[in-house]
Order: sequence, then C-alpha cells, then structure tokens
Amino acid sequence: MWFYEKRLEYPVNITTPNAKLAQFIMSQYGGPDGEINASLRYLSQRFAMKNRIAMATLTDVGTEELAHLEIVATIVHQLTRDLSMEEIEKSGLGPYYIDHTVGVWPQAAGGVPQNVCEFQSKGDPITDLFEDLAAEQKARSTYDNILRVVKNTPEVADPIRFLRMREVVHFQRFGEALRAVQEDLDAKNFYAFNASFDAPVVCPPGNKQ
Amino acid sequence: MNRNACCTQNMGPHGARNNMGQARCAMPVREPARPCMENHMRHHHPDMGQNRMPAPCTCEDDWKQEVPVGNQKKLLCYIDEVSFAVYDALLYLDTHPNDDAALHYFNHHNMKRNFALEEYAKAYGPLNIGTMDDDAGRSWEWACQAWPWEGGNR
Repeated sequence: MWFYEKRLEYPVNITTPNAKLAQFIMSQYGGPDGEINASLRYLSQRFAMKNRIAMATLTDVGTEELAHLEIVATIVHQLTRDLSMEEIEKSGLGPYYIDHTVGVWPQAAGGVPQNVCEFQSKGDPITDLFEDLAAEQKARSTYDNILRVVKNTPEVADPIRFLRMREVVHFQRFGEALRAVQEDLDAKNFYAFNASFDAPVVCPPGNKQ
Repeated sequence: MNRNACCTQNMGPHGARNNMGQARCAMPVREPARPCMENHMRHHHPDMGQNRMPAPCTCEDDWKQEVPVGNQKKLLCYIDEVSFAVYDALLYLDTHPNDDAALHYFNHHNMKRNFALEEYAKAYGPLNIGTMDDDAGRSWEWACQAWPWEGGNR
C-alpha cells in the first residue's frame, strides 16, 4: 500500500524553457533505462524473492524510483512550459507536440514509446538481481550522457546529478542484496539453478518462510 | 487536528467496516460520489448538512476502546478498514475541498488510523516508515518481518 508525499525527493526549479533538453531528458522518464521501467522492474521482481533483505531492497528502491520518475517528469514539464511555437518547431519537438502538446508522456529520446520489454522479471533471484545491477549502471550511463549536454545549465544539471548519484547508491544496495541471497546458497554452486523455484531458501536464517 | 473527533464516538466498534459494507460506496458507477458520501456522513454524523459544528464533547478518548490492541490480525484488519475510510474520504475531499462534514470525517478516521499504526508498530513492528522506532539492540524489523505478499500476518 502506498500513500503519496506531496514534495519532490530533490527540488526542481527551472526558469528557462528548453525544448531540446526536454527531448533528451524525457528518455529517463519513459526510455529503455528510464525510471518507470526501473520502478516496474523492481516492484515486479520482489514477489519471487525468498530473501527478505532482497524483498526490502526491491520494495524500497522501487518506491524511490517512483520519486525519481516524478523528478524527471517535473524537469520535462518545466523545460517545456512557456515555449513559443517557434521554439517548438525549431527545436525538433514538433512531432511530440502534435501528439501530446507539451503534456508529459513516457517515451525514449528517439521517440520510441515506453516499453516493458526493456526489462525482465524472471522469477529467479540471482538472475533478477544481476539485471538490476546492470539496470542501475545503464541508467547511470544515461545520466552521464545527459550531464555532458546540460553541464552549462546548472538548474537542470543539479537535479540530474542527484539522480545519477542515486543510481550509484542503488547499485551498491543491489550488490549487497545479491550477496545476502548468495549467502543462503551453496558457495560452490550459486548459478546452476533457480534459488526460488528449485531450492527455496529463507533469510535471515531461522526466520519462518 | 481533530476539531470534533470525540463527537463521533457513537459510530460503532467498526466505523470503517460499516462504510466498506455499503455496496453503493464500493460502486461509485452506480451511485454518484456525493450521495454515497453523504450517506456515510448522515449515518455517522447527525450534523451533516447543517452549517454548524457538532456540540463540544466530553468524551475525548472513548474511540480508543474500539481499537483491537493485543490481537495482531484484528489490529491489522482494523487498520485496513480505517485506512480505507481515510482514502475514500481523501478522494471525496479532492473534489469537495470545502465540505466541513467530510473534513471532520477524514480527520477523525485519520487520527484513529495514526493511533492504530503506532500501536501496531509498538507491538508487532512498523507498517510504514512514519511509525518506525527500532530501539537499539533490535534488528531492522522493516526488512526482517514478513512482507504482505507472503501472507504471514493474516
């Protein structure tokens, strides 16, 4: 169960619209490594975990990703409000404008609609946690790419740096969750089977399943 | 926070359950939201529809008697019920922000919800981060206790 908290996790106050930057940054809303796919990935995967440390990590990171997609959407919104028609046409935002005006809609920078095929929920804790580690790195790389473009626009770069930093923290936490899962298994044989389906384990040791 | 919370003490031992049990409230398509909510209000609040506040009351904490502390399953069920009443009122208030009776209803149930969440956290571990109070020497119960999809605490 969730309740909404009426604040951004990190403040966004953009004073100058910029349609070009909005097109780039919206990829972290609905793009392949965007925050929507991140949240759906973790909140879907947690059900197959047999280790409560991993369940907690996926729930709480998946929840934080919801806060991140709100930050990215706010950046896109503030970069596209008060645009002139001339700016919309010149910047290349025209095709997006035709379908969505300047509403926020989940798509990649190249215009591909948000697609859940960009992530997996395999029902295997080790498989899924490795994917999560990769996902955090892919998102970090994307924020690095965005930062190279927005480095001279501090009011945009500042919240993007915060989001990038969180990718690094999430990578660390998923690495720890993976270790917790592996500690329940035979160290000589981590990867040969699905720890949830073939040999269910519980953690912390001694807890009831 | 609660201007008149104690004045709704007669709503019965399971106020929220009463609301949930009304089919018309669960099916807003068949009944417009406002009549549905007014029905809640009329049932529980004799002052609904009048431009005066309920009379001052002298029964501040009587509603706490209805909170089933000491029984985990019943307390969680109570939290489910009162939380549903809070959320249903929240949606109603979004479109009727000046409805005094609805505001009163929300405040009263939100107070009961917060109290029940605190009691649950003290006895069985936290259900949200707002009621986390892990004392030194105890483990991080947020992660270590059963998650809702495990079915352990029902």
